[in-house]
Amino acid sequence: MGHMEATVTSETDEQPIAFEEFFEAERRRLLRALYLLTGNREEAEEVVQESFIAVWERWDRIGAMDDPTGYLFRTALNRYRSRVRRAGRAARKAVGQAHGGDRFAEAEDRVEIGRALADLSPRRREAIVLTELLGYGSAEAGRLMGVADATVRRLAQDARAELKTTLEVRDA
Amino acid sequence: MPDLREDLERLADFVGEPRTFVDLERSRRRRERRRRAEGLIAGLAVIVVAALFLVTTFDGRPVATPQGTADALPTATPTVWPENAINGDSAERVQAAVDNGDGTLQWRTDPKEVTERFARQILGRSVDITGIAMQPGHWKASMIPCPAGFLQGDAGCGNPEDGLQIDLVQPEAQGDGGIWSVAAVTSDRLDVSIDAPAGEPVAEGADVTFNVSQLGSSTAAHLRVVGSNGCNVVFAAEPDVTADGQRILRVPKLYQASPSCVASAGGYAIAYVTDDTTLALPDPIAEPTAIESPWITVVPFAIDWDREIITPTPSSGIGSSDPSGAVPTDSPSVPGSANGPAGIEIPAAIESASSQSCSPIPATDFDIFFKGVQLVGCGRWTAGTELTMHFESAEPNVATGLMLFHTDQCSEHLCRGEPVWRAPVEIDPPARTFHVDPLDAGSYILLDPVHPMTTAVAIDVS
Repeated sequence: MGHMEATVTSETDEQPIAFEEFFEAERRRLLRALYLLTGNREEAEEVVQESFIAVWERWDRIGAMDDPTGYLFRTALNRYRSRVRRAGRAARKAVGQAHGGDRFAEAEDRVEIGRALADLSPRRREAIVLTELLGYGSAEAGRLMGVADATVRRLAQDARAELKTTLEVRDA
Repeated sequence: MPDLREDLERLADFVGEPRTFVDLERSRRRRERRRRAEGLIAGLAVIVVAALFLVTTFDGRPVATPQGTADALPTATPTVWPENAINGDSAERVQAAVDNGDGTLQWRTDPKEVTERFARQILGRSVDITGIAMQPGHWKASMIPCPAGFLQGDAGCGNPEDGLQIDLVQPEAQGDGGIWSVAAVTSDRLDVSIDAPAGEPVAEGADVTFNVSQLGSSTAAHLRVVGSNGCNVVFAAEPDVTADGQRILRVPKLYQASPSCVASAGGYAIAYVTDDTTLALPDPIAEPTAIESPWITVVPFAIDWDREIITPTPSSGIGSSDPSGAVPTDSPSVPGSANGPAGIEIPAAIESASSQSCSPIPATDFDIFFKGVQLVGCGRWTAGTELTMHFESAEPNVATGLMLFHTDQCSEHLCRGEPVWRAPVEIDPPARTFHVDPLDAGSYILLDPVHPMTTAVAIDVS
């Protein structure tokens, strides 16, 4: 069972901003978020580039939307999830069982929070990055993730609890 | 954890500076060069495609509108865009507005303009229309979508292999003043056929066969059959199908009726393609999406729906019908533990999860979301392991609960006896988490005893 949620995107009469301006405004924020999701700078940068190109190619339409940033982040989240899924498929083919595809464990920076973040499920990680790092409310984060806002709150709450526990265990 | 945000910010600082706009331009040019190279390779195909189009257009080959052609349009021709059974928009109202001189809708009387707007808004592209055939009330065109930055007629405007055929009909009035609506879009790479006679409504449960064997290995098709009776929107879907032949989805059952339901039901079958790194959004007709490849096939249909009102009311016996058309009773009272001799009525013939397109990976964490929408699905759980179930209702003041039955306890229409597991029927809180004790391997049915006809889910435990 799942849920259906229509996302209504309305167009405005406002003059759309130039794509380059939009790119400059969003590129750092998107890269930082994807870095926390992927744990890998190169992969994060690839997803950023793919997402911006996809948006650029449709900029005449997306630029006129109320929230082109939301569209960009949703495109990026979709691409990130597809990569996780593909990595999972490739790993299953290789070893015959599911594999998380987490790369944080291999990242150069071994700070505790990074490793704790790596232990989270992708959905919890998405929820905590969207709400804590990017500062989205649960309703907006829910629209980006394609889930209900209550689900975002639960995922973020679970993520916080798990991070707390993980960090406490490692500190002990 | 007040410092969490700071911790995340510090960690994100490690990523450094993103690439510049110049780098992005370079990446985009590389991508477009690759597309053009693919176009050259397929250069010969354009001649073949154009020839085939001329030969096959109106030569008796059925067009992609199973609900009728221009020769024999049924009285209510199903359409895809702008009006369709899901958004409930009315072609009749639009026609009336046009007849009354509404200048903002005059574009609806020009089939070429409707085609171009459809391409812009749904495909996110302009189109190069390469062939047109017209009969009274029916306009058919062959078109090649152009990537952003290319103009119609440009040499680089799309690949010949990306060609689409589009069918437009005049649903209300034929002739110069009649509005045009998109009745079907067809890509040769995505074949969609519905098991119903041409021009006739399809039955709930009818097979919709998708053939995606023409796709390349780096693409994924996203398949969906969606229907509505005006008060329920239901769907069957299989996202992320890579190029490996046929899939069959069924026209979902509409079930509940209420006075708010419309008199006629309908929907459409849709297949579209992204590259295999993009996760599909549910329905590109209903919302803008990042369609990487411009291949899309959409076939609308009417649904043969008898407005049977099935409203399980726990107080009056599960499975009873309420001719008044009332929505299901949301009383927290539930059937007795033995569920009475009648048992709990469920949608007929729920297939086991193993015979449906469920994820092959058993889950130990399972999400259920109730939003008053009928959904008959499936899930796969891990045997011998405690399962965590997150159950959430978006309907205020609606009682919901859960019961899990062995399929042995269920006949074609009813589940009887003590459930293997149950969660009490409650109105609050809307989000609950349950732990289900380890289960033996086997087939189960999970349902909400208050809304069993709308929430039965096949579960395979393995």
